[in-house]
Amino acid sequence: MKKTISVSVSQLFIMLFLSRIIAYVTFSTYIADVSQMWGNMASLPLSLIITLLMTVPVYMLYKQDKKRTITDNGYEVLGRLGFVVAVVYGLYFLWVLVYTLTLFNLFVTNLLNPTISAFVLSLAVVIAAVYGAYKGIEAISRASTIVLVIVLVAVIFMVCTLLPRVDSLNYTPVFLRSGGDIWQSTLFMIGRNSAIPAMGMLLPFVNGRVKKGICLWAFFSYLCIGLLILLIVGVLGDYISTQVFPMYTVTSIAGVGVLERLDGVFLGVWTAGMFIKISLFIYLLSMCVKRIFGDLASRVSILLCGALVLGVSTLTSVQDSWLGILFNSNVTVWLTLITGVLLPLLLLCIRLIKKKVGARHEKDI
Amino acid sequence: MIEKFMNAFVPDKKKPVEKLPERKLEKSLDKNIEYMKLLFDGSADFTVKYVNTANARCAVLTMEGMVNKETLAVSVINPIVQSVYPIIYGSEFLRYLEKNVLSASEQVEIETVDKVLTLIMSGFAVLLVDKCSVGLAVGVQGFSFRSVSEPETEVVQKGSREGFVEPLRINMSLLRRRIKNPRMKFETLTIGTVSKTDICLCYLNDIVSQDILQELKKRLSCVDIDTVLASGYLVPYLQEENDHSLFSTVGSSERPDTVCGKINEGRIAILMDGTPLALIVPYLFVESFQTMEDYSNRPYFATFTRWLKYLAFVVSMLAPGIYVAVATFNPELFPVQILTRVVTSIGDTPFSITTEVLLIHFVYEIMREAGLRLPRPLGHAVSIIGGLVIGETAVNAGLIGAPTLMVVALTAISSYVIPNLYPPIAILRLLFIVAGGFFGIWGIVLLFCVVLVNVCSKKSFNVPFMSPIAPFSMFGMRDVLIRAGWRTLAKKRNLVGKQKSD
Repeated sequence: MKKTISVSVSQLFIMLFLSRIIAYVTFSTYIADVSQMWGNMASLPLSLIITLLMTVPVYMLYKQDKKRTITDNGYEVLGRLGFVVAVVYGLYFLWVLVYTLTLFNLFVTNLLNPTISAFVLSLAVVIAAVYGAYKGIEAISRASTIVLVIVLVAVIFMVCTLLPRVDSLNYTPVFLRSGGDIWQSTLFMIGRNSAIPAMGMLLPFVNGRVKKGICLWAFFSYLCIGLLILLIVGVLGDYISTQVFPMYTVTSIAGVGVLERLDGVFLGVWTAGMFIKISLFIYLLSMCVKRIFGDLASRVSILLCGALVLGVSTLTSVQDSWLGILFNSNVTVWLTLITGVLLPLLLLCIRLIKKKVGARHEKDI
Repeated sequence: MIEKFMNAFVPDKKKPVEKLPERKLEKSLDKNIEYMKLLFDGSADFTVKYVNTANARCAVLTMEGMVNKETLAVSVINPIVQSVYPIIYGSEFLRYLEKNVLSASEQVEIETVDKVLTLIMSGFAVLLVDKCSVGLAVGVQGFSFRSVSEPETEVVQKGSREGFVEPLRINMSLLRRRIKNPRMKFETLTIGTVSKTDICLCYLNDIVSQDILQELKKRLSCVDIDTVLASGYLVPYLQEENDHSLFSTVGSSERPDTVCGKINEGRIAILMDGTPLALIVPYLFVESFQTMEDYSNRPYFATFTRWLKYLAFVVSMLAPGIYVAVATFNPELFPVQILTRVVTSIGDTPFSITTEVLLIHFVYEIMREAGLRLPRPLGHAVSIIGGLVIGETAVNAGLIGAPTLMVVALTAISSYVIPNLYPPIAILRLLFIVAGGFFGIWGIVLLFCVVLVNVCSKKSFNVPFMSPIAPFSMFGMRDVLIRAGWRTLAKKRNLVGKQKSD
C-alpha cells in the first residue's frame, strides 16, 4: 500500500483560517494600540483586497510547477544559492513560531496563572506541537477540521451570549478616521498574513481548486475578524483601551444561566488554534531544515526545530528589547512582504526569464 | 532510544515467517507409525488402532477426546473390516477405500507428516495403509464445546440472541446462515508454529477491496508467534507499523449479525478457532459508537442514543480533568452555588483535589477489576461494598469530597456506555487529570489536541481511522451525525476502502 501525502484544499485553508483567526484573537497591548481596534474595521476591505493581491505571486509560482514548494523553486531557479531562500523561509517560520508562543506565554503568565514558569509552559506547548508536526501535515489538517468545528461552536455560543451586552452607542463612525490611520491599520492587518508564505510551502501537497480556496479563505478570515471587532467594541466601548487582551476580557464578562463567565471557552479556543498553528509552522520549519541539510536532517529535523523554538522563545521572553523587536508591527509587515510577496515574485520572474531564454535558445538551435 | 522502547510494544512485521521443509509420508506403515509415536513421545491422547484387511495392514490415527467414537466406528472402522476387496494394493487400495468403502462425507488425501499431525489434532481420523505413501483424513470430529448462546458483552433487546462459540466451523456456519450468497467467501489459514491455530478470513468477494485483502494476508503471513490462543494475539500484527496509539484499529464482535453487517460494507472478518470473537478490519473510530441495536430502533431514537454516546465519551474522558483544572486554577468559572460546595469540600478533605480524584479513580479501577474477575454473585457484592460502603464512609469520614466522588461516579458510568473504548478512555482520563492538575484548562486542551492529532494520523489498512469525520464525507454522516432510516441507508451502501471498480 503506497503512502502519499495529500491534503484537500478545504483542509489546507481551514488550517490557515485557524492560524489567521488565532492571530487576531490574540490582539493585545503587546502588539498594537488596542484603543485603535475599531479603526481596524475601516481597513478591513482594503486589507482583504491587498491580501488577495499578495497571494498572486505565490499562486503564479505554484501554477508554473505544481509539484514544487517555494524552497524547491529556489533551488531550481537559483541553483546552489537556493539555500538562501530556504534559510529565509526557515527564519520567517521560526519568527512566527516565537511570536505566537511568546504571546501565549505572556497571556498565561500575566493573566491566567502568574505562578507558572514561562519555560515549563513553552516546553509543554512545544512538546505537544512537535508531536503534531511529527505526525505530519495530513494529521494536522484532519485535526484542524475537527478543531474548527469545536472553535465555531464555541464562538457561536460566545457570540450568542454576548449579543445582549452589545451597546450601539459604542460604535463611532468608522470612516471619520484619517487616511494615515487606515493605512496603518491595513499594514498591521496584512503583516499578520503568515499564511501566505505557508501557502508557498504547502500548495504542492494540495488536491482541489486552489484559487477558489484562496478567495474563500481571505473572505471568511476578514469577515470573522470584522465580526470579532464588532462584538468586542460593542461590548467594551472605551473600556477597551484599558485592557491587555480585550477578547479575553469580553469572554470573562460573558455569562449564560449558571455559567457566569466564559473565559475558559476562550482559553480553550486559543490553545487549540495555537496548537494547530505551532504544529503547522514547526512542520514548515522542518521542511526548510530538511531542504537545507538534506536526508541527514530528515529524522531529527522536527525535534531540532522544536528545541530551536523553545530556546529562542525562552530567550525572547526574558529580554525586553527582543520583545520590542518581535512585536514591532513594521518588522512584521516587512518580513511578511519579503517572504509572501517579494521572494516569490523574484523567483517567478527569474523562472519566466529562464524559460523564455531557454525557449529562444531552443528555437535558434 | 525512545523509538526502540516504543517498538518493543509493536511486532516486527517486515519479515514473513519462514516455514521448515515438510517431511513426506513413507511407504512403510511401521516407519510412519514409529515416527508419529516418536513425535508424540508417549502422549496419552495419541491413539493408533490397527485394522487388518486381506489386502493390506491399515492403521487409524486419532487423538483421544477429539473424535466421535461412534462415528469413527460406523463410518471408518466397521466398513473397512466388513468389506470385500478386489486384489489391489498400496495407493490403489487406499483410493478404493476412499471411493467405495468409507461413508464419511469429509475426506482429504494427505502426503506429509505435518498435515497428518495438524488434521488429527483438529479431530480428524487419519487412515494409513501399508505400502502407500499417501494417507486419508476422515472428518469424524466429536469434541465437546459450548452451545451457541447470547453474547454477554453485546446484549441487545431487539435482535438475535446468537453469539459466536469456540469452534471455527460453527462460527462459519453462523455467518453463512445470515449471508446465503456464493460471493461470501471463507478462506482458511493456519497460524502459530506450535499451536497451528486455524483462522478464517470472511468477506464478500465482489465488494471487498483487493488492496486491503492482499495487505491483510501479507500481515498475517508475518505472524511469528508460536502459540496463538486468542484473537487478541493477532491484533498487533494487523495494526499499522509503529502504531503506538491507545486506540485500536482492529474491531471485534461476538455477534454474527454485527459481523455480517460489517462484511456487507466491504470489511473482512477474521474468525479464529478457539475464540468466540471475530476480528474486523478495517475498523474506524466512529464504529465504536455504532451498535446492532441502532439499526433495529427507529432512526430518531437511534440518533438520540448515538448522541448520548458521544456525550458520554466526552464526559468519561474529560469531566474529571476539567473538574480538577477548574477547581485548582479557575474556581471562578464555577457558578456561585456550586463553588461554595466545592470550596467547602476541598477545605474539609486532607488531599489536594488532583490527588483526591486520582485516588478515587485508582480505587474505582481496583474495584472494577475485582468485580470483573470474581464469580458473578461475588462481583455484585464487591460493587455494593465498593460503591456504597467505601464511598459513603469515605465522604462521611472527611477523606474525600462528595462533589469529587460524584464526578468520578458519573465518569465511571459514562465510560460503560461505549465499552469498546473503555481501555483508551481509562488511560486518557488519568492523563487528563494530571494535565488539568498541573497546567489547568489550557493543559487539557493541549492534551486533547495531541490525542486528536494522534487519532487523525492513524489509518486502518490505509483507510483514515477518523473518516468520515476527518477527512470529512457528507455521505458518511448519514450513519454518524444521525442514523438515517433504512430506506436511505439501503439506497447506497457505505463501502469501506477502494473497490475493484474504482
